[in-house]
Amino acid sequence: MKSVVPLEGACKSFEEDLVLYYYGENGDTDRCRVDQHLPQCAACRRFVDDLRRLLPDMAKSEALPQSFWDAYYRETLAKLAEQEKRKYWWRDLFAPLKIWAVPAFGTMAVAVLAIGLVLGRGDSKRVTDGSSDAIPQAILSDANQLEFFESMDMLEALSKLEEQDELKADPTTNQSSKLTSLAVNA
Amino acid sequence: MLVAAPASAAGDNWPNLSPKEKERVRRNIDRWEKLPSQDKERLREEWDRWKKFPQDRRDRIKQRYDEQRRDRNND
Repeated sequence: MKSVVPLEGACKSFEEDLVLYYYGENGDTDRCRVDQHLPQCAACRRFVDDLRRLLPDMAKSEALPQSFWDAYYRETLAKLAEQEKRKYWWRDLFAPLKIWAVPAFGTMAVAVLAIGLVLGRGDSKRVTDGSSDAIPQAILSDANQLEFFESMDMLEALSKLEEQDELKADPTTNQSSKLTSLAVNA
Repeated sequence: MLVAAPASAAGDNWPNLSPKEKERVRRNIDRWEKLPSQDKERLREEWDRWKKFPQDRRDRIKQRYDEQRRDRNND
């Protein structure tokens, strides 16, 4: 036995007009054409009958049980939570911190930063100015000793420097003494 | 440490030294600690002699020393 499939078998040239006919939305000309065609075509009549039978059922919404909506709600919340978690993954890093620990941690960080800045500034000052930490206070407080240590290199060469100074200050004396010494040697 | 010298308010001098001068003072203090006592004694004598030089002579010698040091550094 050949089964008839609903909404099939209508004339192709009328199919679209039949749907509009069902909804009452085609123009007068098309409506007259369909009105004239239907009495002559069993397939198209069946098509219109199928529309009348099936479309109201398709339009009806099925009333879903409350359990479905409860499950739907839970599932939606879970999906949102998962999405949130993916978006703010970094929050997990701070998850072990208690609520009270957050401001405490912040305060500690600020304190460490402040100490670091103060010490850092002290270090830079030490580097640029030269620290007196390593210098005994007795030397620092005595200009004489400070000058001595500043001049120590020169004092080690003082005798030579004196000789050079004497030579320069009195070259004639030096030359005559040289000549004298040469004469003595000769 | 060195010689008994009248204490002065010379703590003010340290901040006025240039970084090079400060470094020299530091280095010479370290050297002084390691010097044998006879070298320390000789340097004390040289220092006393130096302090007795007239100012113009001190200036000349200091200038000569600075020139020679500059020449050594340039070599």
